[in-house]
Amino acid sequence: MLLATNRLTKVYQVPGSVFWQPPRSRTALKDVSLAVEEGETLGIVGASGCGKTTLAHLLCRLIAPTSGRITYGLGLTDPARDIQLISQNPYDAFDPFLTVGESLEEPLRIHGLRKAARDRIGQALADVRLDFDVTAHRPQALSGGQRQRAALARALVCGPKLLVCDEPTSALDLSVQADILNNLAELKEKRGVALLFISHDLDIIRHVSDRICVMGSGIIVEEGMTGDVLARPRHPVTRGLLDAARRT
Amino acid sequence: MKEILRVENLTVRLPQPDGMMTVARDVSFSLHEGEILCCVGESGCGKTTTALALTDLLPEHSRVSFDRLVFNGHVAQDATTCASWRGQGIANIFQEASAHLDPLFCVGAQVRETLITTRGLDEEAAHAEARRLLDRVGLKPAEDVERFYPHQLSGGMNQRVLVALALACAPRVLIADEPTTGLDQALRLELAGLIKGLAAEKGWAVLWITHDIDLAEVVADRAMVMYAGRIVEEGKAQDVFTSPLHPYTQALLACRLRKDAAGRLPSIYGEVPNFRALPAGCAFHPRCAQRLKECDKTIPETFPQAGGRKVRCYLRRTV
Repeated sequence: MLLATNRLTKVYQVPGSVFWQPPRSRTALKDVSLAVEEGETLGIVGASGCGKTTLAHLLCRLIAPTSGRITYGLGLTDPARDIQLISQNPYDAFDPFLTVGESLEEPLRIHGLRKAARDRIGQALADVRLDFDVTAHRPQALSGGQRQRAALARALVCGPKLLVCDEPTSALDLSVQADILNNLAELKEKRGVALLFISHDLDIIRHVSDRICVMGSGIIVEEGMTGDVLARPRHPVTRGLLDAARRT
Repeated sequence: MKEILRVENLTVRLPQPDGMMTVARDVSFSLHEGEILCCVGESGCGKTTTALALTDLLPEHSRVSFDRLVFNGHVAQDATTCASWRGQGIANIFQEASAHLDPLFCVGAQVRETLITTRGLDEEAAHAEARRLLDRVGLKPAEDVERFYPHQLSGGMNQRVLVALALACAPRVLIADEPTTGLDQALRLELAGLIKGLAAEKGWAVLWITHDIDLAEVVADRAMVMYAGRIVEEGKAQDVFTSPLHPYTQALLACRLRKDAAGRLPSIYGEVPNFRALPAGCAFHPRCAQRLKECDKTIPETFPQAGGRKVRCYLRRTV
């Protein structure tokens, strides 16, 4: 086991619409328990607003859970370094004032891996099929697909064991989407990295995942091997998602 | 079907720090009553720019030229004529609804304002009509929803408010620029069904811009494919999506994720060219697996095909 969550819950305080109204509590995630095994791809699928991104942010420790626990396996010695996030929108994933090279160097500096920085960056860029020349450019000079590949390279520089991919292709064109999915599959094979792949698109989840968890209103409603769950859905949420996918 | 909008050889140049950049060239198409024309293509191929030019919403100092631009029998003299059509016959629905709604006003007030300015209704009539429109787009109960601010509604609900605003303009033409981007599959289908239903009911001519080919296949009556600022293929949606003739359309459709897809997915070699450094000849030739000798020399003209299709490719040359 690489990582497991035990009854993970996140409650947000939503401010009232006018200042005299007291804040309201909104449960984004309730009692979510899941496990990610080494080298596997776990797909998380669900409609917008069901808590997928909150789960990604909790796993990457960008936010703290209200209750529940995350347990890290022996393979994850330094969770901040070994779990990396690839976010949905490559257009705001980079600091516009830094060059791509500086952005790729930043995680190495933070995690004390500056020694072989150039080699690590070169290797990560080669793995995502980007020329080393892009390091001299600012992110604005790159296309959407190049930026998402650069974001992938930045996630790879520290040699992560788990990549949390939060809808990494939803802002991209079809042709670029295929490229990124191919790239992730290659990385999984070459580096043995595990993927937690979040998407609302069942076709993508079907293609990339070994196992899936279906989410609805902040809870996991169905879980199992991808083929089994999608061939014989038991929960109405899964059936609804499959129905929407079938109609497009 | 009656022709509502005709565009002939529209060219758009946008100001850049180092001079003007041409982002749409010789774009010609027409829109008919009750018909949905989907404009598909990768990001940065000039789809949105073309649409914005039709309602004069381009950045300042942009240059728009055309041979002929006719809306509902009115001939445009220059690009500024298009500004008078905005909201008065041509309505827009944009992607990211929350960015296009005023965060300081409740949605009911925004629909009422549109009704008062475009249809000249008085406050009381606008109030009743705004409720009716919100109800029509499925925002129920409208008496409650009208009091909500955009941040209190979900992405899908805000997108429905934009549809209500478009309805308030009582348009003949609707320009829907990626209205379903950011929504999940079920919401995407719901919204597409709503717009398609309204287009049929009200006789709207719809220009639907999208890079979602699966959705375009569901909603479109006709389709046009754009690449590097030019239309490369146009025809009935069923023809274009089932038997594409241009190598770019073929490559784009091949990238769709099949349910039984396994292993490596097909993708298009290379990147969409920068408008500043378009390749000579056909802009797609560096990425084209079927290119001919002349493809890198001269830009192919549009060759008419059977069934009213048009293809800009030497492979489909007709005498």
